[in-house]
Parts: sequence; structure tokens; C-alpha cells
Amino acid sequence: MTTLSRFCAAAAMLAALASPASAQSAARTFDFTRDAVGREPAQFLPMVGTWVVTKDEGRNVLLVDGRVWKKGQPAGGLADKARAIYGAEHEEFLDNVKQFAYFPIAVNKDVANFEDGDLSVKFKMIGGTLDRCAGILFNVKPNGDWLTVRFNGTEDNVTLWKFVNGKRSMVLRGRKSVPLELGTWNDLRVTIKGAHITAYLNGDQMLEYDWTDAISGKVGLWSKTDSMSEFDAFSVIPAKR
Amino acid sequence: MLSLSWMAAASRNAGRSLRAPARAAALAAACGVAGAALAASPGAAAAQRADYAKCKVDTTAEWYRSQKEFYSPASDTWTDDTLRATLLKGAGFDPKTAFVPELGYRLEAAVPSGKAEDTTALGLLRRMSQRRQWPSRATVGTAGMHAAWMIAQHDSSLAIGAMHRMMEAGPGESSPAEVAVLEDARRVQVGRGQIHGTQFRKLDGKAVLAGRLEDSTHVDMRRDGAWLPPLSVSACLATVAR
Repeated sequence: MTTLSRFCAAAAMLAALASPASAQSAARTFDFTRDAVGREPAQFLPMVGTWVVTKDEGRNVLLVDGRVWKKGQPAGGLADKARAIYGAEHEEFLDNVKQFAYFPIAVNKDVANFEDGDLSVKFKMIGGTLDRCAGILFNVKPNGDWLTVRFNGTEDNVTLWKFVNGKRSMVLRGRKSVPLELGTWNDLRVTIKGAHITAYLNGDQMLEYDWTDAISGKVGLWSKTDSMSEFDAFSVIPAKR
Repeated sequence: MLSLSWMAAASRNAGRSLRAPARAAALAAACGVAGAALAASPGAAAAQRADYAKCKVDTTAEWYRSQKEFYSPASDTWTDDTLRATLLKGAGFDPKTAFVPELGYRLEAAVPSGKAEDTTALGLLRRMSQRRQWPSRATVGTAGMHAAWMIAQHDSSLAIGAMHRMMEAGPGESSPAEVAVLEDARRVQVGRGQIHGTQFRKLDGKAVLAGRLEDSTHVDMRRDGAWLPPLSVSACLATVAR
């Protein structure tokens, strides 16, 4: 399957998952204790990348395995090839062709729509040469647009990214440099109030930002390229109304 | 050519660019890229085969095949002859030499730090790095990229820039084995734990990791992803390195 067709298929899957915007879910924490090791998680829909349940110190956790993902990468030298064909406009071509495939995502099946409240997950970086990322995916729209707050262990920071119309771009980079040890569990949390986004790492505020519209959509987990990260206890706590 | 005596140590064909093959072999062995240097003489080639057998280097393994495929002459195409030639000359690297794998170890004494003496290639790479640029695979080919990496790893500030540019270029654009070696060297330099376990020192004739290793549980998983042999293989090769 080509990258573009994967993008289209994923967008169609998101559309199929879309539910009425008013269906704000109840508080829930998703773990993987009931999932079969070596299989995809039952409560998440891996749309890009390889997401499998694995054992970590006797406990079932979710692993995004960038080693496997690399086999589906775009052709080598894509940037230069695109530049040769499209000149100054090659960036747009490049974005549309490869950006989607660069970011493994797993969308939660059970949260119909998330607006105000808290999203959090425990993550552990265990590998990745080019990237060591773990992120919370939110504001996922039927057309494939999304937002993510992620930690990247190659940069030691928390950043808010947007993915709109097939193009990813950074919204805001947290100013704090936080080196984390591989093989340790950490907490990433996002708090949403209307359009206001606040992100925390291990309880410390990393960034806050006002998005263009009130946040609403599906939620899930996010990664990048060859990252190998484990996830556990994905928690969704809608604000009380 | 860089004037530093250890320049050739990291070269895939170090032995062919030096007048003293024995010293080149020793230096190359200390840098985990022993093949071509040791293969310069029949005796050395036999020693290399013995080391590979003793340390169970599996040349059919995925890490080995991935490196070999990446550096295959068939995939070594480029558009900028001048830049490529400058890099190859600066590194003293001849891409016609046989494939030699990155074996995933560096011995502390062979890994310099600080600022290397300026040369045409080094100055060029410094200027590129300052502009957040780096020679791409399409522009200089895999051999040209390898040459740039060889030059960069001998200058601590340039090595950091090279590492970030290689990471940003994305999968397929650089060898993850080379990125892994650069990152471990950088981490050891600043007192952080290694993540791929590529930096060693000799203690009573045995190679031990320089500094600590983060998350030892998954180190071979990370090495697999970086096209490096298992840690036990690299540690064995580092120990027998002459």
C-alpha cells in the first residue's frame, strides 16, 4: 500500500470512528492487562506504525516498535527527488507524501469525543536512533487532522505539534530541557479547557497554548519514525459539567 | 587530509591510506571498523576471521545485511561531484574498497575530543552545520555521507551538529549505526549514560563500557534498530582488538 493510499485509508477509518460531537465520554483509564501479548491492543486502533502489546517487568504494556516501522519508509533521497521535480514547492509535496507515514498513531476506540478535561499516559522510552518520542494524540478529526503533545528524548523537550491537511508543523516548543533516562516510566499529561491546552511532564508544566478552536475529537497515542516507546495507563478524565 | 594521526582510525579503509599498515590496523581495530585495514595482508585477514569466529560475528544477521545494503555501490548515487570529492579526500576514504561493517565499538583512547585542525572539508562541513545543513545522501551518495561522518566525529562541536542533522534527515538518509556511535560518544563526553553501548575502555586487557549504560534491559533491541551487532559481540571484538 502506498503512503498516500495509507493516508486515505486512515482518514476513512477516522471518519468511520467519528461520533456525535456531544458524546463526551466518562472518565476511564485504559491499560493492557486483558490484551494478548504480541497482538494489537483491543482498545486502540493502530493506524500508522506497529503497535503491539508486550510484557514489561511482568506487566502488559503497549509498545510502538519503530524497528518494524522503518521497513515501510519512503524511498531514500525523497527530499532531493521532490526538490528536483517541484523546486521551491517541493516541501509541500514532501509533506503530503511522507509526513503521515512518519508518525505512528493509535486512536482510542472507546472515547467517542473528548473536549474539556485531562488526558494522561505513562510512557517509557526504550529505543530509537533518530527519534525517541512518546505523545498524547487529541483533537483527531475525521479528515485526519490532529494535535499532539509529545516528549522527544533526542531533544529532551515537550512540544505541541499540529497535523493539518496532511502537513505537520510545530505549534509551540516547551522551553524546559528535561533529560529523561531510558527505561524509566514518566507521566505526560494534557489539560484541555475550551481551546486552552496545558501540558505537563512528571507534574511540571511544560507549555500552554490557545488553539484556534475549542478542542474536540478522538484521542490516542502518538510516536515518530523509529521510536521504540512503551505506554501504559492512558487516562481520559472529562471535566465535570 | 586531516593531519590528526587518528584520522584514519575511523576510516573504513584506514589501512590503505596509511604508510604503516600495522599501525593503521591497530587503530582501525580500536574503532570497530577493522575489516579493510586488517585485510591489507593475508596474516591480518586471517586474524580478522579468527576474531569474527571467536566473537560470533554473524554476517548473515539483519544488522550486517542492512549495513551492507545501505553501502551497496548500486545505491551509491550522487549529484554533486565536487562536494563528494572534497569529502572523500578530506576523510581519506576510497569508496572502491570492500564493504567493512560498523562493528559497534570504540575504545576510549582512540576517540579524540576537542577541535580538529581546520581543512577544506572540515571548514566546509562546519559552515554547512552552522546553517543547519548537512551533505545529503542524494547529493554526495552514501560514500560521501560516510566520509562526512568520519570527518565530523573527530571534532566535538561538529559531531553534535552532524548527529542532529543526520537525525533530522530521517530514516534512509543516513546510517543509524553511525548516528548511534556519535550519540554515545557525545553522551559519554557530557557525563550521561550511553544508550547503545558503543564506547569502551580497556581494563586489565578486557573491554568494559565507558561510563554507565541506560536501560541495559533493551540495549540489544536498540542495537538491532541501529544496525549494530549485539553488545556481547561488540564487547568481545573490543577486547580482542589489537
